[in-house]
Amino acid sequence: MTCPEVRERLAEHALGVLSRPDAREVERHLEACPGCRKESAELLEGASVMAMSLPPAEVPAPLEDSILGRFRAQSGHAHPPTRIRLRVLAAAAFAAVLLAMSATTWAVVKNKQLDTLHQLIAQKNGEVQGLASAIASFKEAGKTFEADLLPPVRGRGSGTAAIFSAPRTNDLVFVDVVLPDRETGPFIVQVVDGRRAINAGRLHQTVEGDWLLYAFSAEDLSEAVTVTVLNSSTGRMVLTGTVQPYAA
Amino acid sequence: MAFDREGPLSRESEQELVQQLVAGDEEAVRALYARFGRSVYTVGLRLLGGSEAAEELTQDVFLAAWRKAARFDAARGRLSTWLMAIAHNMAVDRLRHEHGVTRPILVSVDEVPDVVGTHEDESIIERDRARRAMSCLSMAERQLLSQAYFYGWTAREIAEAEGIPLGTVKTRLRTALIKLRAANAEEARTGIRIGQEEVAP
Repeated sequence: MTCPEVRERLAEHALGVLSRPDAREVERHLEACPGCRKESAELLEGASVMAMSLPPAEVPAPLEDSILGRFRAQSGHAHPPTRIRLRVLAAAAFAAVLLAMSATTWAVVKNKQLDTLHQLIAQKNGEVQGLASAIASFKEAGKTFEADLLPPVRGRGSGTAAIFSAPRTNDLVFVDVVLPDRETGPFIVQVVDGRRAINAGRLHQTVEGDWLLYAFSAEDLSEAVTVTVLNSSTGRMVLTGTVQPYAA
Repeated sequence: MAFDREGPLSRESEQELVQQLVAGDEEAVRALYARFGRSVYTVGLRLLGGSEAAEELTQDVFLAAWRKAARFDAARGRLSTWLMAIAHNMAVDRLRHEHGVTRPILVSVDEVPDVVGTHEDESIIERDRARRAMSCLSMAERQLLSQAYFYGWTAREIAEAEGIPLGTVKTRLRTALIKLRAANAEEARTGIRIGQEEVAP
């Protein structure tokens, strides 16, 4: 299109009523022609005044959240690094380290490589210490608890429980235990505070043979006193431990 | 940089806001929505005729603004112009796609405001200015622009309906838009001047 042909169409283009092929041709021309572009900008400005002059409608309140939700999803950005997100990340990382520690440790125990076990424990303890320091840097984030899970008298098996409790986000429970082969479950984990027993979920057996639970709980677990593993078929207590603040 | 959600932005601030949008800064989306969300939604409601369609359009417009943000140039035009053009084009596209025509469902020429007044709320300065600028047009000019902008009539359709030559319609549309733009710019200048006088000792 020539400049006169384009200029003849610019008002309709600004008002959005040009046919699509014509609009595309006009826009191609505008990319290369500063003179027509200037006039187009002025006409577009006039058209936008019409839009801005409309009596304002009442906007539904959730609209902004919908936009931000789609923006986050499509931009590939997760939520911005808010405190809540950091809490969840810290909790997840904490659980991941415990997972690595526990699974490896128990696998070595089974193989009776005790020297290696001591080295591994030292190494994993170091990792956990590092992570605990990271968690401690989120001082307002919440509290971390742990419990060594032991069997009742004459029982066998042992394990670890970790709880990460933070306000305004779901608490996290992580349990990893090793039980004698004859123990087939199913097993459930209960977190008991001063008032009630909260069912945290069911343990699942890994390929290494240990039993894991990694779950978020909508309940507030910050006042937990004990963590108990029960055989849900028989109701028998399999392991239990007292909850203590995590020692960094 | 945090952006005020009310009051006019300088061209530099507009460019900076858009640069933050390009960078994927969620705060920029929030700031943009705070300033123009209602206007975009209003355009959607007027052209598409229903709140659900207007909500969907508003979401699409802000996502499109983010995707196209790198192409925004403050030297070429204002942020409101750019965003409203995106909103209007998307609304018209939707109408064409869904109904095969560009006829909006709801708006009537009578809804185009011709009564102006002042408002103390900073956030609607731009709207008040636009309304005052609209009042500078004659009734015939307002009607002509509304036929195109709100009803989606092409120049040819207007010419046939009104029984006037096509060339005349195109010229009148262009003249009315230029006049509207000039009146709005004048309103902005006057507003600034009055503001300066008000704060002068």
